[in-house]
Amino acid sequence: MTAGRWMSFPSSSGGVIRVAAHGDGCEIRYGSRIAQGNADLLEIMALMDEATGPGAAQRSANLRGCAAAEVYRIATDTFARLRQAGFDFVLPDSLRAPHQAGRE
Amino acid sequence: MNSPLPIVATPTRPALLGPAHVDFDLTNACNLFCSHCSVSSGKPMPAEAATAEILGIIHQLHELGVMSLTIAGGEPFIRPDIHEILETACSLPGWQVTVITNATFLTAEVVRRVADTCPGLAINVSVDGSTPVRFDYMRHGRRRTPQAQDELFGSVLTGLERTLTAGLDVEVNFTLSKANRDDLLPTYRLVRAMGARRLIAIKFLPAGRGFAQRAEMEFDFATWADYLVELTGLKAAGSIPGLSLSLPSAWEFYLPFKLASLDLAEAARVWRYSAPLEDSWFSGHAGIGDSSGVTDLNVVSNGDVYPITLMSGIPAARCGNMRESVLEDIWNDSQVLQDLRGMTLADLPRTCQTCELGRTCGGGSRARAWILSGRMDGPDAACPLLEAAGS
Repeated sequence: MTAGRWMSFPSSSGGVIRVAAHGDGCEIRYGSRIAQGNADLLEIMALMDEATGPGAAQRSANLRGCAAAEVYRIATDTFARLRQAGFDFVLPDSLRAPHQAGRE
Repeated sequence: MNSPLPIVATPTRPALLGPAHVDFDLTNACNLFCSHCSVSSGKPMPAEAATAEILGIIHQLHELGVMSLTIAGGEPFIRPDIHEILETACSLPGWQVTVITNATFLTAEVVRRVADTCPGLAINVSVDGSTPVRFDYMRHGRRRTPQAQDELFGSVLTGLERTLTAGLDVEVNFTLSKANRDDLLPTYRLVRAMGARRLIAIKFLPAGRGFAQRAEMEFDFATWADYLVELTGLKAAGSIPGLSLSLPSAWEFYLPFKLASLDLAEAARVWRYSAPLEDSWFSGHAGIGDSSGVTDLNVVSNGDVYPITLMSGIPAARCGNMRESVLEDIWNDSQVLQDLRGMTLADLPRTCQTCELGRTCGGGSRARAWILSGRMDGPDAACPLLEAAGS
């Protein structure tokens, strides 16, 4: 994957996952959620462990400094598995509609 | 279903690779002449983008990772290529596309084609009044005959009705000002009776043509505070489901309750409101409470780029032009955008730095501050605390 370029691919549930890599990790946009950088990815990996069992933590330890293509592969796999495990992703109100009150 | 994932902020994260939300104004042409129009629509801009350029911009926005695209104007349906544009945008995966319209061009044929070819498209219809006269006050300059007022209002409601009948995802926009606040609830009841489930009241900000209406339309704080508290009572009682508020900044929500010694947390619960800086994800990316240029961007019909639509009338806020540069370079290299992203409370008036709400509000609206003070780091002079401090 070219650093900084977005790639879109279908998730297991029919949504679209979009991932771009850059120098220090990657930025992931899934449906309406953004995760960015290795720290977020590590958090996601930890949740993935909870959701789908151990294994992700080992891979996340290898994430820092790895090639963009590897970041992409790990991220895509992570998101597919998280979605399969039933996680939902929502856009923070601060991003979707800053200063909007009362949306139901 | 599990709860949404928490978002953990990191202090050293880079800027986003691209904006999350973009308002794309396809044309400045509009058949109406709204007195509050923040982009002064009416005549088209010189050298507005052709169809191929528009489609190219949309592809660039998508490739840059934009998640929410709002197509606006002017009146976007005035363009003969609007269907091709909407269909292209809606064919690209992974983002939400919304179009804002005055509904006067929504013939049965137009609505049918949109419904058939634009899956997932959301439509926001502007209805700023409950009667032909009240609507005309906001929308057409107050110099028209009763017959013309009736025809215009009827045209808008017919267009709205068609979108609802077609099962489209519809929200009604109402520009809320001091001058028409008494007509919000009658308008809400009117559109609810037609079947619209959601109405968003967008608090007036004196941008564009609206600047000249400032004395008449802009809320003074005391009037706003009383009005918000009154609305909150209705919201808490469950009397206005589907009604939401869009405010320029966080102090406009919190300060009325704080100064009246009311419960801020309860008000936030009633409205399901939280300031951007209360969100760890946003505060990890921004030092102030304004999303302009941080997560938001505006592209206008000649390709010019601004941090947010409300800044598009400020020449110094221009970030670049998509005929001269690709959007990715503008997003990364624009000094205006870098300055906005790098701004912290320490760059803002001292009153904001010492304000008890400072870390929640984050300095108010940068668009309003820039318009009123001439500086992007100036005071948001509509805030009563700044006014009292003489900033």
